[in-house]
Amino acid sequence: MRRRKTFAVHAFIRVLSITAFIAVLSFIFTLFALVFVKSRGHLNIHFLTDSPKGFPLGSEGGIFPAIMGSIGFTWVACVFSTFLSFMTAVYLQFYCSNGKYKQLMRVVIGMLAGIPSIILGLFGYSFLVVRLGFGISILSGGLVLGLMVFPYMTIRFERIFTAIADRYEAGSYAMGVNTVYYILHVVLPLAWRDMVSTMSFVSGMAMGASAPLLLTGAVFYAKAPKSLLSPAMALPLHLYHLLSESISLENAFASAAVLLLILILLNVLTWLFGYYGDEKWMS
Amino acid sequence: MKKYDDLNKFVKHLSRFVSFFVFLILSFIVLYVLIESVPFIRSEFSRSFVSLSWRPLSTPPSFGILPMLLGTLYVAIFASLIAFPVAVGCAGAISSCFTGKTKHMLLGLIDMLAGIPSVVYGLLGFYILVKPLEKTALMATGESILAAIITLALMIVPYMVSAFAKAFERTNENYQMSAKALGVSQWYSLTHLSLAHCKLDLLSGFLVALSKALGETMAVMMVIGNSPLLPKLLGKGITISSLIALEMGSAKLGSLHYHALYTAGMLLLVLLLSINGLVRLIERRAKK
Repeated sequence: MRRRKTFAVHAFIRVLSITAFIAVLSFIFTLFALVFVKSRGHLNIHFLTDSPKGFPLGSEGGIFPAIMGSIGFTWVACVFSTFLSFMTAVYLQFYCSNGKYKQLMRVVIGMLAGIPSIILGLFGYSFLVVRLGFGISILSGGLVLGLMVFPYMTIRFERIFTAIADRYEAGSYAMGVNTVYYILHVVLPLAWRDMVSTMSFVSGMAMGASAPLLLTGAVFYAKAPKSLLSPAMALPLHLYHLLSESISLENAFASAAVLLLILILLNVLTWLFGYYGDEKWMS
Repeated sequence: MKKYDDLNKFVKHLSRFVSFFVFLILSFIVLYVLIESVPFIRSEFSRSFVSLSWRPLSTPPSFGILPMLLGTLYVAIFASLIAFPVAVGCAGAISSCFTGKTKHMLLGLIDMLAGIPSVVYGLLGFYILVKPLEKTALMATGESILAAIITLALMIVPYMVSAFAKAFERTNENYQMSAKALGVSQWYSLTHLSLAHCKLDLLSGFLVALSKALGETMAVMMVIGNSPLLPKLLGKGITISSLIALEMGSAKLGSLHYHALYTAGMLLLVLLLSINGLVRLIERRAKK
């Protein structure tokens, strides 16, 4: 009896696994196939280089300002969060000797990762846009996105630094160099590839995020941004407007295809540059 | 070496300051949300918060959050429950059928799936769920809680898969040698070793995905219909995050409506941070 039950569980899990695996793979395939097939006729060079046109706006023309706007937001987010994350990870990994403080920072980073992006957007709207007077702009949107990606970036940086420290730290300190020499001449030459990989991973995240930008940075229509304080369009929100106001389903699919292409590109970069960060999976 | 000593001191203090600044930012965000919701809580209409009608602009206004709260919980919990078995199965298949480069590539693919923007999922949900549902006689419009649940489930599967696959991988590393030496097949060790050993990891992965689902805005907003009704599987609904996203732009600064939206945000934040704390407790337990 017992044996039969054991076998039943065993068989059930086996069937479940194989079915689920096939389902997930076919979902991935369907997703990409659907988006690219539906956008086939609309995705061309004019779509990438034109401004939205037609009536209602967006039913014809392209998405050039949205692409430029998204790049702007992502750039600000990346610069802001790289600075914060690098400094935090350096402090926690190389300087901090207080275990309690390290523990506290882990909790803080975890909590930041747990704050939903819409709440960050809400905070950005009231504080950055209104209170500090940055207005609806690339700067406010980018800062909020930077806060959103900061925890993921810090965790990855720390993992990279730990992997390097495991191999080289004792040797370096045995040679009598101080910490900053070790960082500049041992860690950075080894870690820069992984740091670039992390940055492109995080850019992909920031590029696709829309909820935080809804209140802080993105507008329905704007020209390609000229300065940090000008409002801009963002690609994911352009897609959202095209769909929710039923302007053009075809152009929405074409925008989704552009987003996916950018994402694939950033993923390839992440994969090309990554080494220490995901060494574990290679073994 | 004098140069490096000075630089060392500088970097040390700068990095300490920055890490402390991060701590300040977090406390500031949480405090800010709390403080902005105080005027609403102290106003005479705070009683109406636990009611069913959300009419912020009528006189007297009524700010019933229950439809949004229930909608959020309904959608997120059901989506996670649907996603859970699929993710366990998929992670199990990846960890026991594949090795080396292929496994690495598959996990990369899953991570990429997790990185796909939520608006794309929303678009997909709109196209493959809302449109066909419109044609059935079950409901007036296709935008419904059902569509939101399925879209959200598709969205959180990859998060769960990568969390579970990591847990299975750890178990494999520790016990695979002994299991192989005893002549146990991969599948047997998945059912009776990995699954049994990773119960706590499965729970924490489930909760992390649940918190992602609770906080998700765009994909849900595009398919749920956004009307403040009590959630029914085939009816329209609304979630807290889509309420904030839709109404914050039009709420007058400093008005009760504005502060009420902040209170709704605080509710969501408290919910998510407590789930976060729970996950931390479970993970600490799992390490022991």
